[in-house]
Amino acid sequence: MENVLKVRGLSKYFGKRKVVDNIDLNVYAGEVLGFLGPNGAGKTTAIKMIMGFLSNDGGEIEICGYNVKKNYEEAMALVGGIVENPDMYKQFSGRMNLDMYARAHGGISETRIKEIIQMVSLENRINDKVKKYSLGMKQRLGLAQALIHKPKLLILDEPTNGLDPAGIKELRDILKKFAHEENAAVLVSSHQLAEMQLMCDRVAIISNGKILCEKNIDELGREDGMRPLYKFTVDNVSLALEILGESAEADGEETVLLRTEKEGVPSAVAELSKAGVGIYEITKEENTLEDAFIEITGGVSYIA
Amino acid sequence: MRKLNALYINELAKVVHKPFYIIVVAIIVAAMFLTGVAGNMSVSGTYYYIEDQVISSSYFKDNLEFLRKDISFCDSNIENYASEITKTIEKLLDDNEYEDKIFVYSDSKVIDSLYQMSYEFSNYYYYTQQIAQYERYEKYEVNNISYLMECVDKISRNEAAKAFETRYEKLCEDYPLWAEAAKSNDFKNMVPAEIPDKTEDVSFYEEVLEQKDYKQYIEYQNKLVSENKSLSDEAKALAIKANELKLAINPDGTDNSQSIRERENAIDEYVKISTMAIEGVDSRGTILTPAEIEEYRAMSAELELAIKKAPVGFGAEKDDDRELFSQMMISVGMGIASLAVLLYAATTISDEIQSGSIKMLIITPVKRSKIFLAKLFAVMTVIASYGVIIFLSFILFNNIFGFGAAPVIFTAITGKVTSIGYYLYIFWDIVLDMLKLFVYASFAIMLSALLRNSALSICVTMFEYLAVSNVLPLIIASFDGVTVDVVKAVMPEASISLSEKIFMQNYPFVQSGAGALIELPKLPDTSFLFALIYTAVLLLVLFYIGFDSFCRRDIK
Repeated sequence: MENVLKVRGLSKYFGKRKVVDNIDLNVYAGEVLGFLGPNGAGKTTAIKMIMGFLSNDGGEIEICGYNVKKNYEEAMALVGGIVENPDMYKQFSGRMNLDMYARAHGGISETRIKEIIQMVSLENRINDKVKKYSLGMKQRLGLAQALIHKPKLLILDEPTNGLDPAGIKELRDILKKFAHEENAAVLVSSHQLAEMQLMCDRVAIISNGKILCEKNIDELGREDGMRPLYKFTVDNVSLALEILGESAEADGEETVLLRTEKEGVPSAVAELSKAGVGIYEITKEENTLEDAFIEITGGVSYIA
Repeated sequence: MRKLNALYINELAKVVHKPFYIIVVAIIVAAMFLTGVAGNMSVSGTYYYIEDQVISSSYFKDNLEFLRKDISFCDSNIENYASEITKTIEKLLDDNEYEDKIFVYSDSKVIDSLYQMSYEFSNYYYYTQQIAQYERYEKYEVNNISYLMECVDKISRNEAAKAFETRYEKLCEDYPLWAEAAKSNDFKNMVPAEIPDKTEDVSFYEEVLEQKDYKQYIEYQNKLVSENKSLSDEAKALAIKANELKLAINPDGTDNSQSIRERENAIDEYVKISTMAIEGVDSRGTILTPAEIEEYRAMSAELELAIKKAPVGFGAEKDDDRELFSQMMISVGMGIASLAVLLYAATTISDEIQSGSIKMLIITPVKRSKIFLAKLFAVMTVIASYGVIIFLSFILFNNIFGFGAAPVIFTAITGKVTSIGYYLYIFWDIVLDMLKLFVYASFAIMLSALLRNSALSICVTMFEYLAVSNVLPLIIASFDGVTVDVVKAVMPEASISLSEKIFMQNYPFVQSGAGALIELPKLPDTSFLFALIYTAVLLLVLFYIGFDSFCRRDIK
């Protein structure tokens, strides 16, 4: 597999604080890599260095073999993306924004512009001024601009912000299709694990400016911390804890938390009923990134 | 190159698609049009603003004869200037088309010299008149003593003056106390008895002036006229009528406004010219030829008409005002364009950074240096576009309002007096103004990249543009022991303007505004080459700071 983005020993200081600490990262053609980490972990800083917004205080960035420092224009010609919010020229129409980007990039046909507008379903609103767009529409326009030149590397920073569930699904489909069909590399940053699980082939987890691990998404799913968490509201917490064993823990006076696969729920209910524990309610808690991190980092708090 | 071109087109698209640009264009055109309308209505009083900068052809026409005859009066530099200007004017006056519409643009040195020369002429004539009077009446007005001595000093290079000097010396011998008082300007200790026949009049005159009784003063003037034995009855009647006219326009003599003063001057001029036409003798006592008398009659008739018609008198002929408004259209257009350009330049980078749209630029596969250059070229283009709009509007309105387009005379950089077509002059004037604006705009771009804050960058730019080059030199100069050379060394831009260099219109800051109030000495001239090199170095420094700041700093 072609290594589209190769980052080695990348570092960045803001004043005396080291925000990105010696990170290595590979993104291969045809895959979607999730760049996972809480707010302030250094995701956006790393992305901004890759995209040329920030200078780096150490390390090398190569895109398809082009060194970003030495061959800036060649390297950047292969990159598309959105950093933080898709900030366009608000006083101009979506179409004018795309035209300006296409002109600066060069070699983008009128047919391609129309095609990309259709792809992000903006054909009815493309001539409206961007200031009249909703956040979701701006995200779509940003995506259109990021994809218009068929980049080899697509970088999206928190792309689902402001999208409705249908929009998120659509984005997911577009990204997967783009990565797999165009054989492009996609780097998506997010702090939402569930979203990453559905969207990515692989994740790199970043905390405190360091990459903690890189894992395949199914590998990550097998981590204990990635198993679902069920919340049992019961009448006897101590008895329930006794029955459910080590995988359960108390959470307040009436609730017990149990980490298990879904297959484990019926047996737990049966055992609790058998022991005479009254069950009022069972809810499934979404997996949180914190859980994953606690697991991966061995329970060390990661929030800076 | 292709990418730079694409970014440049993008920058222009941004400019054109914003309402700001269109609004500014509309304001420029409207303001120029309204200035034209005002000029067409010939609003009075504005003539005087440019009096120091522009000498109208009528001035030269009046003095042409003197310039021709008495050029040897002056020192050789002034003589050369004067003779060159005279020749050029004479040539242009031959084309009747331009009569009375020629304006002479020159540096202040030339103008000062010409005024000085004119002053010397008038002194000379006044002085010879006094001699004539003295010879006729053998008496002298006390007030004229110091003036007379000044005249003697000024015209001592002239043969006629030398002759007078001898007579003046005799006067001093005859009246030693008078002479002594005159030398020390001590009129109070003068012995009145030494001035025969005039003593009474003198005290009366002084009293009148002290009481500021204008009516009595006019009566006194009339009395002098009627007693004047050398005047014909017709001339006397004219002078008395003129004095009454003066009394009518300024009944108590307290109205000191420019327009009244000009009207009074016009009346004096009318009396002078008319008297010469009636008597057939000029103020020096030379007998006039019939052709000259005819000329003076025509002038007298014109003046009479002017006095009756012109609300502001002789000094503000209609044509002069109109010429002024023609030029004011350019100033108004340039003023608005300058502010608009500076607002645009001061925000061109900071706005993108503050709004976040800079990301759109950074993610394009183009080096930041090209983005910066594209912005710089866009600012240059906007400046040029305003220049074109101003020039075209000027031609249009100048024709609509019929302001005329007589050639312009100026002292070229080579020192030669030359003339060019009016529109060509305006064209170069605009080009050079735009170059000057570009220097300020470069400063604004630099600030925009450096401060990354539009409000701050606008404030500093406007402060620099409106205040620094005028106020700061004055502040520096206000410290004890600071000479003009120090001011010049600290702030060379205060005395540098390429357009002023090329058209030799040296009016450094001290001649206008606050500088004029505290009467700072004029900055010494800098050479054109120095101005050119200084401007180039300044531009390079500004570009470097802006470029470096934009290209190397992180965009967070």
